[in-house]
Amino acid sequence: MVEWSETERSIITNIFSNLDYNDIGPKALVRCLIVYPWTQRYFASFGNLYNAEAISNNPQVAAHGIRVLHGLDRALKNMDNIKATYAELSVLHSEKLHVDPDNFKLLSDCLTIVVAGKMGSAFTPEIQATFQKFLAVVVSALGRQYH
Amino acid sequence: MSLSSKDKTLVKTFWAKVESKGAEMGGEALGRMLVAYPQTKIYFSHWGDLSPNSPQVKKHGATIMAAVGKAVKNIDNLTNHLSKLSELHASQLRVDPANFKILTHNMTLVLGMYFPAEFTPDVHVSVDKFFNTLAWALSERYR
Repeated sequence: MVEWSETERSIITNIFSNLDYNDIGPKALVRCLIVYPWTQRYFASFGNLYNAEAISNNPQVAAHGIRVLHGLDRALKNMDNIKATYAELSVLHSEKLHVDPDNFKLLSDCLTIVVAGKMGSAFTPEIQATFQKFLAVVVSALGRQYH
Repeated sequence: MSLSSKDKTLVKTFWAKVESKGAEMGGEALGRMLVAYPQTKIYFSHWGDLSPNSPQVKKHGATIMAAVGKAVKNIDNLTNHLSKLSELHASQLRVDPANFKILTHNMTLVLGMYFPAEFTPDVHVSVDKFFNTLAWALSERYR
């Protein structure tokens, strides 16, 4: 089981309570689709992903970015059992959506960079380490049901 | 995933904007790496103070960033340009090349922190490709 100190718990809670989901969610997914274009394979039904501008202005991408970010709320509310919390979502991503689990890390890297860009120097090295640990646990949980 | 002329132009233009903060950003990136990826500390165990505020960390981060800046100027010829540094990392420092990705992730993050407006997704993808190419050139002499 993953151990969380009190400091780590409050760091994660603080990040999410100050997060503008409607801003950060879309930015993170947009960045992922542009920087790692192979991730676009999962969004063929989203219409125009032809170039960076199209992706940035695509309303379906934005909506999906917000949804994905809210998906992290589950981990936030169940930090002591993230693995079980994501069991169902892991099956969904592997069995139905057929997402390469390597992509989870790519999206989480983009999210980290977007959050760092928003928070600036308030995103201290310690906060970065804790946030990355949190995302790594989520990524691992999402990849568990693949076989 | 080699560098197109568009990538090279974007990287050079962006670097010209950020170069003045290079030393500070380098120290920041190295300091963050040592905190967020503690396994990387093994390469600097001889320093004693490995905190982000350590003068040695800041100085070395600046040195690394200056070398990256030089690499940008030699973007058409990275393998040859980095040959000596590759030799150093391979045979003397013996840094596992997997760590290059870790450091460049922190450099990318710091670029996004310091220049949120300029580090657009378009610039990000070209810089990411450049860092990958640089890491590859740096590992050229390993085996």
